[in-house]
Amino acid sequence: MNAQDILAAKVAYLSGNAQTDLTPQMQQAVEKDDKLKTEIAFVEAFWQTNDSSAPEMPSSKLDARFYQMLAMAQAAQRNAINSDNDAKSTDGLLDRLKHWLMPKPALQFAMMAGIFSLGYFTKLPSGETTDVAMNNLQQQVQSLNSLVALSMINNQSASKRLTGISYTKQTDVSDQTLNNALLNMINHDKSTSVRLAALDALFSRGLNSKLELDLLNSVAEQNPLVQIEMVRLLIGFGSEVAQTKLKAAAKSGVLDADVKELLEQQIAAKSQLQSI
Amino acid sequence: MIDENELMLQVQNGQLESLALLFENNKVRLFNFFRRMGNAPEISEDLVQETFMRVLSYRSTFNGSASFRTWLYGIARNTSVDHYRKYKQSLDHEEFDDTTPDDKSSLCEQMVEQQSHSLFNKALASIPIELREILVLSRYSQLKYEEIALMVNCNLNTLKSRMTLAVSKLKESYNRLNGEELT
Repeated sequence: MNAQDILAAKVAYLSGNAQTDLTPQMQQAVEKDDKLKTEIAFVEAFWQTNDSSAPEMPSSKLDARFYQMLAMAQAAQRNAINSDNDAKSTDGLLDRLKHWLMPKPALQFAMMAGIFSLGYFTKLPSGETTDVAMNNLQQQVQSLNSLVALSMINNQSASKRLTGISYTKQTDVSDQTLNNALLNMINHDKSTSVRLAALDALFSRGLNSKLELDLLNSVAEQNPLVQIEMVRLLIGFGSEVAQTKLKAAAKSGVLDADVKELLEQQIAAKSQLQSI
Repeated sequence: MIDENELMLQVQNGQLESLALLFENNKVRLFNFFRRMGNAPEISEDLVQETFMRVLSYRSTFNGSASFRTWLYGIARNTSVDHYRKYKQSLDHEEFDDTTPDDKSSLCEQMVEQQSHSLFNKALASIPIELREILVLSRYSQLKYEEIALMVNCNLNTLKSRMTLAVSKLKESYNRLNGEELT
Protein backbone atom coordinates (compact mmCIF):
# COMPACT_ATOMS: atom_id res chain seq x y z
CA MET A 1 0.00 0.00 0.00
CA ASN A 2 1.52 3.31 -1.09
CA ALA A 3 1.03 6.89 0.15
CA GLN A 4 -1.53 7.67 -2.58
CA ASP A 5 -3.73 4.74 -1.45
CA ILE A 6 -3.56 5.89 2.16
CA LEU A 7 -4.45 9.45 1.18
CA ALA A 8 -7.34 8.19 -0.98
CA ALA A 9 -8.59 6.05 1.93
CA LYS A 10 -8.50 9.08 4.25
CA VAL A 11 -10.40 11.26 1.75
CA ALA A 12 -12.97 8.49 1.24
CA TYR A 13 -13.50 8.27 5.00
CA LEU A 14 -13.77 12.04 5.51
CA SER A 15 -16.19 12.43 2.61
CA GLY A 16 -18.45 9.67 3.93
CA ASN A 17 -17.54 7.18 1.22
CA ALA A 18 -15.89 4.70 3.59
CA GLN A 19 -17.24 3.45 6.90
CA THR A 20 -13.88 3.12 8.65
CA ASP A 21 -10.90 5.38 9.17
CA LEU A 22 -7.32 4.35 8.42
CA THR A 23 -6.32 0.90 9.65
CA PRO A 24 -3.58 0.64 12.35
CA GLN A 25 -1.17 -0.51 9.62
CA MET A 26 -1.95 2.63 7.58
CA GLN A 27 -1.61 4.81 10.69
CA GLN A 28 1.85 3.39 11.29
CA ALA A 29 2.81 4.17 7.71
CA VAL A 30 1.59 7.76 8.17
CA GLU A 31 3.63 8.14 11.37
CA LYS A 32 6.77 7.12 9.52
CA ASP A 33 6.25 9.45 6.53
CA ASP A 34 6.37 13.19 7.33
CA LYS A 35 5.18 14.27 3.87
CA LEU A 36 2.19 11.94 4.09
CA LYS A 37 1.48 13.14 7.63
CA THR A 38 1.27 16.74 6.36
CA GLU A 39 -1.03 15.70 3.53
CA ILE A 40 -3.33 13.84 5.89
CA ALA A 41 -3.42 16.87 8.20
CA PHE A 42 -4.29 19.06 5.20
CA VAL A 43 -7.24 16.93 4.03
CA GLU A 44 -8.52 16.73 7.62
CA ALA A 45 -8.37 20.52 7.87
CA PHE A 46 -10.12 20.95 4.51
CA TRP A 47 -12.94 18.56 5.37
CA GLN A 48 -13.39 19.75 8.92
CA THR A 49 -12.78 23.51 8.82
CA ASN A 50 -15.72 25.80 9.24
CA ASP A 51 -18.36 23.07 9.23
CA SER A 52 -20.38 24.96 11.79
CA SER A 53 -20.60 28.21 9.81
CA ALA A 54 -23.97 29.18 8.34
CA PRO A 55 -24.23 28.83 4.56
CA GLU A 56 -24.38 31.96 2.44
CA MET A 57 -27.97 32.94 1.68
CA PRO A 58 -29.29 34.01 -1.73
CA SER A 59 -31.22 37.29 -1.95
CA SER A 60 -35.02 37.48 -1.88
CA LYS A 61 -34.92 38.28 -5.63
CA LEU A 62 -34.27 34.59 -6.29
CA ASP A 63 -37.53 33.61 -4.55
CA ALA A 64 -39.49 36.28 -6.43
CA ARG A 65 -38.12 35.14 -9.78
CA PHE A 66 -38.69 31.45 -9.07
CA TYR A 67 -42.30 31.93 -7.96
CA GLN A 68 -43.00 34.15 -10.97
CA MET A 69 -41.65 31.41 -13.23
CA LEU A 70 -43.72 28.76 -11.41
CA ALA A 71 -46.89 30.86 -11.72
CA MET A 72 -46.28 31.23 -15.46
CA ALA A 73 -45.71 27.49 -15.85
CA GLN A 74 -48.93 26.76 -13.94
CA ALA A 75 -50.85 29.23 -16.13
CA ALA A 76 -49.40 27.59 -19.26
CA GLN A 77 -50.44 24.19 -17.92
CA ARG A 78 -54.00 25.40 -17.22
CA ASN A 79 -54.23 26.82 -20.75
CA ALA A 80 -53.01 23.54 -22.22
CA ILE A 81 -55.55 21.52 -20.17
CA ASN A 82 -58.42 23.81 -21.20
CA SER A 83 -57.38 23.58 -24.84
CA ASP A 84 -57.18 19.77 -24.61
CA ASN A 85 -60.69 19.64 -23.18
CA ASP A 86 -61.99 21.77 -26.05
CA ALA A 87 -60.31 19.52 -28.57
CA LYS A 88 -61.64 16.36 -26.86
CA SER A 89 -65.23 17.63 -26.89
CA THR A 90 -64.92 18.37 -30.63
CA ASP A 91 -63.41 14.92 -31.21
CA GLY A 92 -66.23 13.25 -29.25
CA LEU A 93 -68.87 14.95 -31.32
CA LEU A 94 -67.12 13.94 -34.55
CA ASP A 95 -66.86 10.32 -33.37
CA ARG A 96 -70.57 10.17 -32.62
CA LEU A 97 -71.38 11.68 -36.02
CA LYS A 98 -69.09 9.19 -37.73
CA HIS A 99 -70.81 6.18 -36.08
CA TRP A 100 -74.22 7.56 -36.90
CA LEU A 101 -73.36 8.34 -40.49
CA MET A 102 -71.43 5.15 -41.27
CA PRO A 103 -73.13 2.09 -39.82
CA LYS A 104 -71.67 -0.33 -42.43
CA PRO A 105 -68.29 -0.38 -44.22
CA ALA A 106 -70.09 -1.02 -47.52
CA LEU A 107 -71.53 2.45 -47.35
CA GLN A 108 -68.20 4.15 -46.74
CA PHE A 109 -67.30 4.68 -50.37
CA ALA A 110 -70.71 6.14 -51.17
CA MET A 111 -70.55 8.32 -48.07
CA MET A 112 -67.07 9.62 -48.96
CA ALA A 113 -68.19 10.42 -52.49
CA GLY A 114 -71.25 12.18 -51.08
CA ILE A 115 -69.21 14.28 -48.64
CA PHE A 116 -66.71 15.12 -51.37
CA SER A 117 -69.48 16.27 -53.71
CA LEU A 118 -71.18 18.22 -50.94
CA GLY A 119 -67.92 19.93 -50.10
CA TYR A 120 -67.19 20.65 -53.73
CA PHE A 121 -70.56 22.22 -54.45
CA THR A 122 -71.18 24.06 -51.23
CA LYS A 123 -67.53 25.02 -50.49
CA LEU A 124 -68.12 24.54 -46.79
CA PRO A 125 -65.19 25.51 -44.54
CA SER A 126 -63.27 22.36 -43.70
CA GLY A 127 -60.55 21.30 -41.29
CA GLU A 128 -62.07 22.86 -38.17
CA THR A 129 -60.52 20.20 -35.95
CA THR A 130 -57.12 20.98 -37.43
CA ASP A 131 -57.73 24.65 -36.71
CA VAL A 132 -58.56 23.88 -33.06
CA ALA A 133 -55.45 21.72 -32.69
CA MET A 134 -53.36 24.40 -34.38
CA ASN A 135 -54.78 27.07 -32.07
CA ASN A 136 -54.01 24.90 -29.05
CA LEU A 137 -50.48 24.39 -30.25
CA GLN A 138 -50.02 28.11 -30.86
CA GLN A 139 -51.35 28.88 -27.37
CA GLN A 140 -48.92 26.44 -25.82
CA VAL A 141 -46.00 27.88 -27.76
CA GLN A 142 -47.02 31.40 -26.75
CA SER A 143 -47.29 30.39 -23.09
CA LEU A 144 -43.80 28.90 -23.26
CA ASN A 145 -42.49 32.03 -24.97
CA SER A 146 -44.05 34.13 -22.20
CA LEU A 147 -42.40 31.91 -19.61
CA VAL A 148 -38.99 32.24 -21.25
CA ALA A 149 -39.43 36.00 -21.77
CA LEU A 150 -40.46 36.59 -18.17
CA SER A 151 -37.61 34.53 -16.84
CA MET A 152 -35.08 36.37 -19.00
CA ILE A 153 -36.31 39.88 -18.30
CA ASN A 154 -35.75 39.17 -14.62
CA ASN A 155 -32.17 38.15 -15.25
CA GLN A 156 -29.29 39.97 -13.57
CA SER A 157 -27.46 40.40 -16.85
CA ALA A 158 -28.55 43.35 -19.02
CA SER A 159 -27.88 41.47 -22.27
CA LYS A 160 -30.15 38.63 -21.15
CA ARG A 161 -32.84 41.14 -20.19
CA LEU A 162 -32.59 42.60 -23.70
CA THR A 163 -32.97 39.11 -25.18
CA GLY A 164 -35.99 38.62 -22.91
CA ILE A 165 -37.51 41.84 -24.26
CA SER A 166 -37.10 40.60 -27.83
CA TYR A 167 -38.84 37.35 -26.79
CA THR A 168 -41.89 39.35 -25.69
CA LYS A 169 -42.48 40.11 -29.38
CA GLN A 170 -43.39 36.44 -29.88
CA THR A 171 -45.97 36.38 -27.10
CA ASP A 172 -49.63 37.18 -26.70
CA VAL A 173 -49.92 40.99 -26.61
CA SER A 174 -52.79 40.80 -24.12
CA ASP A 175 -50.60 39.06 -21.54
CA GLN A 176 -50.87 41.52 -18.64
CA THR A 177 -48.11 39.90 -16.59
CA LEU A 178 -45.64 40.62 -19.39
CA ASN A 179 -47.02 44.12 -20.00
CA ASN A 180 -46.61 44.92 -16.30
CA ALA A 181 -43.12 43.41 -16.28
CA LEU A 182 -42.16 45.66 -19.22
CA LEU A 183 -43.63 48.69 -17.48
CA ASN A 184 -41.69 47.80 -14.37
CA MET A 185 -38.49 47.65 -16.44
CA ILE A 186 -39.18 51.04 -18.01
CA ASN A 187 -39.54 52.52 -14.53
CA HIS A 188 -36.88 50.67 -12.58
CA ASP A 189 -34.24 49.02 -14.76
CA LYS A 190 -30.75 50.30 -14.02
CA SER A 191 -29.76 50.22 -17.71
CA THR A 192 -31.07 52.98 -20.01
CA SER A 193 -30.71 50.73 -23.06
CA VAL A 194 -32.95 48.15 -21.42
CA ARG A 195 -35.48 50.85 -20.47
CA LEU A 196 -35.59 52.10 -24.08
CA ALA A 197 -35.96 48.57 -25.49
CA ALA A 198 -38.76 47.83 -23.01
CA LEU A 199 -40.52 51.05 -23.98
CA ASP A 200 -40.35 50.15 -27.66
CA ALA A 201 -41.61 46.61 -26.94
CA LEU A 202 -44.51 47.90 -24.85
CA PHE A 203 -45.60 50.26 -27.63
CA SER A 204 -45.33 47.55 -30.26
CA ARG A 205 -47.69 45.41 -28.14
CA GLY A 206 -50.30 48.17 -28.20
CA LEU A 207 -50.96 50.54 -25.35
CA ASN A 208 -54.21 50.49 -23.37
CA SER A 209 -55.39 53.55 -21.41
CA LYS A 210 -54.18 52.18 -18.06
CA LEU A 211 -50.66 51.47 -19.33
CA GLU A 212 -50.59 54.86 -21.04
CA LEU A 213 -51.53 56.56 -17.77
CA ASP A 214 -48.90 54.59 -15.84
CA LEU A 215 -46.28 55.65 -18.39
CA LEU A 216 -47.34 59.30 -18.22
CA ASN A 217 -47.10 59.21 -14.44
CA SER A 218 -43.52 57.98 -14.67
CA VAL A 219 -42.28 60.58 -17.19
CA ALA A 220 -41.00 62.90 -14.47
CA GLU A 221 -38.86 60.12 -12.93
CA GLN A 222 -37.09 59.23 -16.18
CA ASN A 223 -33.73 60.42 -17.48
CA PRO A 224 -33.79 62.76 -20.57
CA LEU A 225 -33.03 59.93 -23.03
CA VAL A 226 -36.01 57.89 -21.89
CA GLN A 227 -38.15 61.04 -21.70
CA ILE A 228 -37.33 61.83 -25.37
CA GLU A 229 -38.39 58.35 -26.49
CA MET A 230 -41.52 58.52 -24.34
CA VAL A 231 -42.51 61.88 -25.84
CA ARG A 232 -41.90 60.64 -29.38
CA LEU A 233 -43.97 57.51 -28.90
CA LEU A 234 -46.73 59.03 -26.78
CA ILE A 235 -47.28 61.95 -29.14
CA GLY A 236 -46.98 59.72 -32.20
CA PHE A 237 -49.17 56.84 -31.06
CA GLY A 238 -50.81 57.91 -27.81
CA SER A 239 -54.21 59.46 -27.12
CA GLU A 240 -55.24 63.11 -26.72
CA VAL A 241 -54.97 62.62 -22.95
CA ALA A 242 -51.27 61.83 -23.38
CA GLN A 243 -50.72 65.06 -25.28
CA THR A 244 -52.55 67.13 -22.64
CA LYS A 245 -50.69 65.50 -19.77
CA LEU A 246 -47.31 65.95 -21.46
CA LYS A 247 -48.04 69.62 -22.08
CA ALA A 248 -48.90 69.98 -18.39
CA ALA A 249 -45.69 68.21 -17.43
CA ALA A 250 -43.68 70.59 -19.65
CA LYS A 251 -45.37 73.60 -18.07
CA SER A 252 -44.66 72.41 -14.54
CA GLY A 253 -40.97 72.07 -15.41
CA VAL A 254 -40.54 68.33 -14.82
CA LEU A 255 -39.30 67.84 -18.38
CA ASP A 256 -35.73 68.56 -19.40
CA ALA A 257 -35.37 71.73 -21.60
CA ASP A 258 -34.41 69.68 -24.71
CA VAL A 259 -37.29 67.28 -24.12
CA LYS A 260 -39.66 70.24 -23.79
CA GLU A 261 -38.44 71.59 -27.15
CA LEU A 262 -38.88 68.18 -28.77
CA LEU A 263 -42.39 67.93 -27.34
CA GLU A 264 -43.36 71.25 -28.92
CA GLN A 265 -41.92 70.13 -32.27
CA GLN A 266 -43.73 66.78 -32.13
CA ILE A 267 -47.05 68.41 -31.26
CA ALA A 268 -46.64 70.95 -34.08
CA ALA A 269 -45.74 68.21 -36.57
CA LYS A 270 -48.72 66.12 -35.52
CA SER A 271 -51.22 68.99 -35.84
CA GLN A 272 -49.73 69.85 -39.27
CA LEU A 273 -50.28 66.23 -40.37
CA GLN A 274 -53.84 66.27 -39.02
CA SER A 275 -54.66 69.50 -40.90
CA ILE A 276 -53.55 67.87 -44.18
CA MET B 1 -38.53 14.12 6.18
CA ILE B 2 -39.51 15.10 2.64
CA ASP B 3 -39.26 12.41 -0.01
CA GLU B 4 -37.80 14.44 -2.87
CA ASN B 5 -38.12 11.62 -5.40
CA GLU B 6 -41.84 11.44 -4.65
CA LEU B 7 -42.18 15.22 -5.02
CA MET B 8 -40.38 15.17 -8.36
CA LEU B 9 -42.67 12.39 -9.59
CA GLN B 10 -45.61 14.61 -8.57
CA VAL B 11 -44.13 17.46 -10.63
CA GLN B 12 -43.76 15.04 -13.51
CA ASN B 13 -47.44 14.11 -13.19
CA GLY B 14 -48.50 17.73 -13.47
CA GLN B 15 -48.56 18.84 -9.81
CA LEU B 16 -46.26 21.77 -10.46
CA GLU B 17 -46.80 23.22 -6.97
CA SER B 18 -44.56 20.42 -5.62
CA LEU B 19 -41.65 22.14 -7.38
CA ALA B 20 -41.91 24.93 -4.80
CA LEU B 21 -41.06 22.45 -2.01
CA LEU B 22 -38.12 21.10 -3.98
CA PHE B 23 -36.93 24.66 -4.59
CA GLU B 24 -37.21 25.63 -0.92
CA ASN B 25 -35.39 22.49 0.11
CA ASN B 26 -32.49 22.95 -2.29
CA LYS B 27 -32.08 26.63 -3.16
CA VAL B 28 -29.49 27.49 -0.49
CA ARG B 29 -27.45 24.35 -1.11
CA LEU B 30 -27.52 24.93 -4.86
CA PHE B 31 -26.69 28.62 -4.49
CA ASN B 32 -23.67 27.71 -2.37
CA PHE B 33 -22.65 25.08 -4.92
CA PHE B 34 -22.52 27.75 -7.63
CA ARG B 35 -20.76 30.18 -5.29
CA ARG B 36 -18.08 27.62 -4.48
CA MET B 37 -17.66 26.97 -8.19
CA GLY B 38 -16.37 30.56 -8.25
CA ASN B 39 -19.43 32.50 -9.44
CA ALA B 40 -20.48 35.92 -8.13
CA PRO B 41 -23.70 35.99 -6.02
CA GLU B 42 -25.85 37.50 -8.81
CA ILE B 43 -24.62 34.93 -11.33
CA SER B 44 -25.15 32.12 -8.81
CA GLU B 45 -28.77 33.23 -8.39
CA ASP B 46 -29.22 33.26 -12.17
CA LEU B 47 -27.79 29.75 -12.32
CA VAL B 48 -30.13 28.47 -9.57
CA GLN B 49 -33.09 29.95 -11.50
CA GLU B 50 -31.82 28.42 -14.75
CA THR B 51 -31.41 25.03 -13.04
CA PHE B 52 -35.03 25.03 -11.86
CA MET B 53 -36.19 26.14 -15.31
CA ARG B 54 -34.40 23.09 -16.68
CA VAL B 55 -35.87 20.85 -13.96
CA LEU B 56 -39.28 21.95 -15.18
CA SER B 57 -38.43 21.57 -18.85
CA TYR B 58 -36.78 18.16 -18.50
CA ARG B 59 -39.15 16.79 -15.85
CA SER B 60 -40.18 13.90 -18.09
CA THR B 61 -36.58 12.58 -18.07
CA PHE B 62 -36.57 11.99 -14.30
CA ASN B 63 -37.09 8.26 -13.79
CA GLY B 64 -36.32 7.86 -10.11
CA SER B 65 -33.48 5.39 -10.72
CA ALA B 66 -31.04 7.86 -9.14
CA SER B 67 -31.98 10.15 -6.26
CA PHE B 68 -33.56 13.52 -7.03
CA ARG B 69 -30.52 15.23 -5.52
CA THR B 70 -28.15 13.45 -7.91
CA TRP B 71 -30.41 14.32 -10.85
CA LEU B 72 -30.66 17.94 -9.68
CA TYR B 73 -26.90 18.33 -9.28
CA GLY B 74 -26.44 16.75 -12.72
CA ILE B 75 -28.60 19.52 -14.17
CA ALA B 76 -26.87 22.16 -12.03
CA ARG B 77 -23.50 20.92 -13.20
CA ASN B 78 -24.55 21.11 -16.88
CA THR B 79 -25.93 24.61 -16.28
CA SER B 80 -22.64 25.62 -14.73
CA VAL B 81 -20.62 24.04 -17.57
CA ASP B 82 -22.78 25.80 -20.21
CA HIS B 83 -22.31 29.09 -18.39
CA TYR B 84 -18.57 28.53 -18.15
CA ARG B 85 -18.31 27.70 -21.88
CA LYS B 86 -20.39 30.71 -22.85
CA TYR B 87 -18.60 33.23 -20.71
CA LYS B 88 -15.11 31.78 -20.37
CA GLN B 89 -13.70 34.75 -22.27
CA SER B 90 -14.90 37.15 -19.62
CA LEU B 91 -15.35 35.02 -16.53
CA ASP B 92 -15.65 37.12 -13.48
CA HIS B 93 -14.59 34.91 -10.61
CA GLU B 94 -15.14 36.66 -7.39
CA GLU B 95 -13.08 36.41 -4.28
CA PHE B 96 -15.07 34.83 -1.48
CA ASP B 97 -15.98 37.14 1.35
CA ASP B 98 -14.92 36.25 4.82
CA THR B 99 -17.77 34.94 6.91
CA THR B 100 -19.12 36.86 9.86
CA PRO B 101 -17.81 35.54 13.17
CA ASP B 102 -20.35 33.81 15.40
CA ASP B 103 -20.26 33.50 19.17
CA LYS B 104 -19.51 29.79 19.41
CA SER B 105 -15.80 30.04 20.02
CA SER B 106 -13.25 32.58 21.10
CA LEU B 107 -12.51 35.51 18.79
CA CYS B 108 -8.98 34.22 18.21
CA GLU B 109 -10.20 30.75 17.19
CA GLN B 110 -12.77 32.30 14.91
CA MET B 111 -10.19 34.50 13.23
CA VAL B 112 -7.86 31.56 12.65
CA GLU B 113 -10.74 29.48 11.29
CA GLN B 114 -11.96 32.33 9.10
CA GLN B 115 -8.53 32.90 7.65
CA SER B 116 -8.14 29.22 6.94
CA HIS B 117 -11.64 29.03 5.43
CA SER B 118 -10.92 32.01 3.23
CA LEU B 119 -7.65 30.47 2.07
CA PHE B 120 -9.36 27.17 1.27
CA ASN B 121 -11.94 29.04 -0.82
CA LYS B 122 -9.26 30.98 -2.66
CA ALA B 123 -7.28 27.81 -3.26
CA LEU B 124 -10.42 26.05 -4.47
CA ALA B 125 -11.17 28.87 -6.92
CA SER B 126 -7.69 28.59 -8.39
CA ILE B 127 -7.65 24.89 -9.31
CA PRO B 128 -8.99 23.61 -12.68
CA ILE B 129 -12.79 23.59 -12.85
CA GLU B 130 -13.02 19.81 -13.46
CA LEU B 131 -11.15 19.13 -10.23
CA ARG B 132 -12.89 21.92 -8.33
CA GLU B 133 -16.34 20.57 -9.12
CA ILE B 134 -15.69 17.07 -7.79
CA LEU B 135 -14.24 18.51 -4.57
CA VAL B 136 -17.22 20.85 -4.15
CA LEU B 137 -19.72 18.07 -4.88
CA SER B 138 -18.05 15.78 -2.37
CA ARG B 139 -17.02 18.18 0.39
CA TYR B 140 -19.86 20.73 0.35
CA SER B 141 -22.76 19.07 -1.47
CA GLN B 142 -21.97 15.81 0.32
CA LEU B 143 -22.61 13.59 -2.66
CA LYS B 144 -21.24 10.05 -2.72
CA TYR B 145 -18.53 8.97 -5.13
CA GLU B 146 -21.02 6.80 -7.04
CA GLU B 147 -23.30 9.81 -7.56
CA ILE B 148 -20.47 12.09 -8.66
CA ALA B 149 -19.07 9.43 -11.02
CA LEU B 150 -22.50 9.14 -12.63
CA MET B 151 -22.67 12.90 -13.06
CA VAL B 152 -19.22 13.41 -14.53
CA ASN B 153 -19.57 10.26 -16.60
CA CYS B 154 -16.56 8.28 -15.42
CA ASN B 155 -16.03 5.06 -13.49
CA LEU B 156 -15.49 4.89 -9.75
CA ASN B 157 -11.76 4.22 -9.91
CA THR B 158 -11.17 7.16 -12.25
CA LEU B 159 -13.14 9.36 -9.89
CA LYS B 160 -11.05 8.24 -6.90
CA SER B 161 -7.84 9.07 -8.81
CA ARG B 162 -9.23 12.47 -9.76
CA MET B 163 -10.15 13.14 -6.13
CA THR B 164 -6.60 12.42 -5.03
CA LEU B 165 -5.28 14.67 -7.79
CA ALA B 166 -7.77 17.39 -6.83
CA VAL B 167 -6.67 17.26 -3.19
CA SER B 168 -3.05 17.44 -4.20
CA LYS B 169 -3.70 20.49 -6.48
CA LEU B 170 -5.69 22.13 -3.73
CA LYS B 171 -2.85 21.64 -1.27
CA GLU B 172 -0.33 23.08 -3.74
CA SER B 173 -2.51 26.11 -4.28
CA TYR B 174 -3.20 26.50 -0.56
CA ASN B 175 0.50 26.41 0.28
CA ARG B 176 1.28 28.94 -2.43
CA LEU B 177 -1.45 31.30 -1.20
CA ASN B 178 -0.43 30.76 2.41
CA GLY B 179 3.16 31.66 1.50
CA GLU B 180 1.94 34.81 -0.26
CA GLU B 181 -0.13 35.79 2.77
CA LEU B 182 2.78 35.29 5.13
CA THR B 183 5.19 37.33 3.03
